[in-house]
Amino acid sequence: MSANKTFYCLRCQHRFPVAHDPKQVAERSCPKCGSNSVRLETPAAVAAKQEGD
Amino acid sequence: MMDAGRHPRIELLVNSEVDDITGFVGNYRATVRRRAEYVDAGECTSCGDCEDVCPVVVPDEYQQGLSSRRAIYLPFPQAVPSSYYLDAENCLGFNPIACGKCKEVCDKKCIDFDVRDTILDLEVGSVIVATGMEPWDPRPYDEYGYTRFDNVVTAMEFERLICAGGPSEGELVRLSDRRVPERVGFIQCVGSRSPNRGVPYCSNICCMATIKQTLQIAEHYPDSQQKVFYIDIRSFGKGFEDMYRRSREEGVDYIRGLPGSVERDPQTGELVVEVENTLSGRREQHRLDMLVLATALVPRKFSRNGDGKRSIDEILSLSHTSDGFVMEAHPKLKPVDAPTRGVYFAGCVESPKDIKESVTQAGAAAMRAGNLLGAGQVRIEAITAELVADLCAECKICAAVCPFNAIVEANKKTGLLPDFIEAACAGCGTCAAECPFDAIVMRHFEDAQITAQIDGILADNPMEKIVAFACNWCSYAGGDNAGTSRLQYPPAIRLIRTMCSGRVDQRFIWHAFEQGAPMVLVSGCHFSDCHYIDAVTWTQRRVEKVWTQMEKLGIRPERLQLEWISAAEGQKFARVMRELDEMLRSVTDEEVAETVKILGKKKLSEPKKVLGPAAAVNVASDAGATVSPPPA
Ligand SMILES: [Zn+2]
Repeated sequence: MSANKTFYCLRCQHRFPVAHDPKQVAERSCPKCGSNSVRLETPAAVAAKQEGD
Repeated sequence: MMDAGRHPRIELLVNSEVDDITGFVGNYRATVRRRAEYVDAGECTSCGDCEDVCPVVVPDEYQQGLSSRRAIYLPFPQAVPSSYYLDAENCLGFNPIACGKCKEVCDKKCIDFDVRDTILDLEVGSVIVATGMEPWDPRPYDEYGYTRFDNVVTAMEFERLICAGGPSEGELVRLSDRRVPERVGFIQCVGSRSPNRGVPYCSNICCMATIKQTLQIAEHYPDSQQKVFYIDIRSFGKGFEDMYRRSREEGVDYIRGLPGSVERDPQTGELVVEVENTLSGRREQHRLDMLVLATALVPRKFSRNGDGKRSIDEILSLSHTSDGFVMEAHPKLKPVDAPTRGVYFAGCVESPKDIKESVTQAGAAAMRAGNLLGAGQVRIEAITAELVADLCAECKICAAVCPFNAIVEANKKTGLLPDFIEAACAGCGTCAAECPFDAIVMRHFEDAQITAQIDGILADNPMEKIVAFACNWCSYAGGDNAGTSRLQYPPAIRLIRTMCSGRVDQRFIWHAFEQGAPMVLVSGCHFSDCHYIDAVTWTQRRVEKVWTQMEKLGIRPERLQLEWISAAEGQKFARVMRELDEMLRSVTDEEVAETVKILGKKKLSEPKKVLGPAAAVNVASDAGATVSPPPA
């Protein structure tokens, strides 16, 4: 089942929602910069980013 | 078709479907379900007595529902075999009291209600997929009033109406009152070149089909008026421009612009078409008796049936381009080959095409298959996977990830190691990248060869380098495209070519970081372009795993970038390289030194060790979390 999840871009740091089905591997790209280096935002990722800021 | 039906070495299995195909090039085994045929085709003389007495009347699919047929019928005039067909779904003979009238009148006694489906097990050397396409359905959007007005028809419906064997025996009539239309309009690109409402691509045949239809009307009804509403006319084939010119000379009015609305005048019943003529810049109104929609051609919808049957696409693991048609092994050099060896395409299953192109492609596919069978042996790819038996822990990951089903999985009970079918291996390297034990050698792209390239790149001034893995078919070719297009990109990028991004082992990425790489790029084909079916999906999964691990280790995941670049995307290649060069400047010496220190302790670039059967069991269960089961 796909649910809306937040992804973030490892190129421009843009955050955006994506209908995400963990069983499906889909090609994804950042709607802002077009990069394919986009990642599901996990609590660990949020914490790591805050630490970085 | 008749020739094929009579040929001593061609066996036509009509009314049959493929349940399964296993094996590999030259050695396929197909399981075919032959649906029960209640009429013995060998005995039937097509006298038609059965049809005369059949009480069931249903819409005739061949005539686009414009006329009706009986439950026992000849599918169409030139059908091969030329015998009657009993439509079991609609026949009362099964419902549950048999009507049986057809059986009673059949002199040849060739109708039998008790026959059942039969399963055929065939050994075949190659497979040609020619499952065709279907016309786009204009109903959901009510394109140009198709669902509201009887006199708006699709091009397929028009074909039946103008055909001598059609429901009106070749007399072109409008459906509302069966009168011959004096003014006929054609609207082009209905559903085609329309990413929001239909499909984004050009359907290839519609312009010429419309031109042909205008000529047919002009010939049969010289006093008719015809108007074609178009975006642009694509008459690119041999003799096509001549046909277009003839159509214009016959007085057909070509109006550049697609109608904004189609309504029906309640007084006269005429269709009122509003259009902006983009050549004159004027808004025009046209009154017509009939409107023909040149609808798009779309891939056939294969869906799992309720009984869990798989489509031929699923059975053969066919990959698709972004338009939904099947993908060929190479668009220029292997246009009729599937990525899986021994499988070929013919006709519109690959893309919309006209008869000439379909016949050409079918001939090419038959020749490819014939060459393969005639040779009796195949030359194996030089780049294939090889098992190092001593290192194998029988974890079965390799078999699960192979896009070509070229690996028969290990069996712990029997002690059999995975079996690598070299003839089926296409050399993507996904198995070698996924094997946690380094028990698979990828010939010509061995671990040692790739790590040596990484070491070479990072030997001098590593802080000025980006280690980039690029797949042979797309990203590397995208780099070539950038070069031949003379696009500038920074010299920091250093490419390591692999056949597929699926070959990029996570240990290569860790090795690069261990050796002081400030940034690493993994690049491959877009998912719809992957030359190794779905190998690219394993690349993404793997990179996602490395990002997570980097984060846990306190290494910025941004330093590992992922990009899908096609061979045509030279511009994208250059842009990505410029962006990465910009990011490279944000990586400090201290950060890299810290990474080297962290990874020095972790030894992530080293394979897992096989410690014996117990260890193997642990790894297999650990791996199960990330590897989906192999296709059934
Ligand atoms: Zn972005």
